[in-house]
Order: sequence, then structure tokens, then C-alpha cells
Amino acid sequence: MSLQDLIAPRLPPAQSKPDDDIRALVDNAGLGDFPYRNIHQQERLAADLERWPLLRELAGSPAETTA
Amino acid sequence: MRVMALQGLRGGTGTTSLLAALAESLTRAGHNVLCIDLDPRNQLRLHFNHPWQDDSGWAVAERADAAWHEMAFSLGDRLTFLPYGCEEGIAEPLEPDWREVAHVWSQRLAQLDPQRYDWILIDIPNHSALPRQMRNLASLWLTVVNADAACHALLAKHPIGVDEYLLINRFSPRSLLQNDLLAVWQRRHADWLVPCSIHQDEAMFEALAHKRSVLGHRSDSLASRDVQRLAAWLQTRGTAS
Repeated sequence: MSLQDLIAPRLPPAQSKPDDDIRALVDNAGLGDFPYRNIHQQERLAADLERWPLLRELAGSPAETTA
Repeated sequence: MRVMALQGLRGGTGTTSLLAALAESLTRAGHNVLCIDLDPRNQLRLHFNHPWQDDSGWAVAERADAAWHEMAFSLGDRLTFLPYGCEEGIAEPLEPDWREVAHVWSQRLAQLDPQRYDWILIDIPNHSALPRQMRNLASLWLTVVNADAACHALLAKHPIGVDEYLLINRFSPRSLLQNDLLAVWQRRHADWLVPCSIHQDEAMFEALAHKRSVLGHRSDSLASRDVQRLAAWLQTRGTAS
């Protein structure tokens, strides 16, 4: 095995896949610019952060919000 | 006044969380405790509900020509903690001159009123290049390990100091490897192995997410009971100075 084999991937990078069915539908219909927001996911994330005070605090810090 | 240092044998052994829990256990037993964070990562404060955005601490005070004790915070009547601090806008803390840190803190500890605190707990960063003088800061030294192969390999080359004890944290009795390592260590390190280990417990991880020590988060958890046992054991060790 050459050094190039070790450092270079043999396969091309995988295409990014949609993370939910609606997103997949929008992509397949060629509506890439459609302003779709997964409200359920956002609400779940908010609830997850609400459960843990440190996570909630960090989510509001400038370092996290700009990341 | 007893001064005890806690240091992980490697990074990620859960030393800071353990120190916070131990401090709370000692305060619940009626002792006055001062916790000093000597780790530039400045994480200890988060176990004591300190605001993330508050960068104050003794290292920052030094550069601002302020008194180090002005940066101490009280939590309840008996617990005081002193964060390391973080300079505004600096993501990666600068590595301090450890010889200077050891020298300065030995002087500061000697100047403290011995009646003010029953225990001083110092969080020592895991750092291979710490000078030998750091050992003189504390009369009790707790080296924290996890029962894994990495710690086993590091222990083989670890020079044991006077009044140093080895504590197993996050012990899982269901693990074959951990049980075997415990048996080996009980034979090989019998003279400095602490007889009570801290069990692996999800409550310990949850505690930091709640910005508390594990005793403050769930005092009925297995880890909390282990820490209380450890605190009772420690009270029988070391000499008052």
C-alpha cells in the first residue's frame, strides 16, 4: 500500500443526503431554494436544551451562536 | 487546615467533577472548604453554577494587578471556590509558568488563616511537564485513574510521591477488563490504592449539565454515596497543618 493510498480516500465523497422526507421531496422536485424549516426538529432541539441548564447557557453564548 | 490536590493520571478521568462532589460532601459534613482551580481550562466553576460568561479568576487578577482572593466566590455558608479565569477574547488559554505557579501558590497557602478553612482542594491539570515543586502545595495528593489499559500503562512509569493515593473513578463492575485491572492494582498498588472506588454513574455526567456537583444533582445516586464514603475515608488521612 502506497502512502498515497493511506492519505487519499479511494472513494469519492458521499453526496449529502436530506435528513428528512420533506427535505428529500423538495430536493427531488428541484425546489432547492424553497424556504423549508423543520419546525418539529427546532422544537425538539429547544426542548433538549431546556432540559440541561449548561447546554442552554452555552447555546446562548456568542461563541455558539456565531458557530 | 488540610490541603489536598487532585490530578488525573491522564486527561478525561473525571477529576474535576470528582473534586466538586468531594467539596460538597465535605461541606455537608460541616467543614469549610476552599476549592482552587489551577487548570487553565477553567471548568471547575461550572460545577458550582457559575455563569459561563464570567471570565474572572485568579490568573486574570494577576495580570490586572488585582488581589487573587477578590476573585473567590461563595456557594452557601461553607463552600468557596476560586476559578482560574479566562482572558476576554482568548479561546485557548496561555500555558502558565508552572514553576512560578507552584511558588506563588505555596506562599499564598502559607499566608491563609488556618482557622478559616478546614479543607483546601486544588484541581491540578493533567500535565506531563509540571514541576516537582507542585507536589509541595498539598499534604495529600489524590491521583485519579480509570480502570483501563491506558492508565495501567501510565501507572507502570508513575513515580509515587509521599502522601499520594490512587483513586479509581468511573469503575464499572460489569466490565471484565476493569475487574481484572482492579485485582492487579489491588496487589501491585495495595499500599497507596484508596480502598473505596467511585462507580460509573450517569448522574455524574448529568450533574455538570445541571451545573452542579453530583451530590447537588442526585444525592441518592451511587456516585454520591461513593463520594461520601471517600470523604469519610479522607477525613481519617493526612495531617492538619
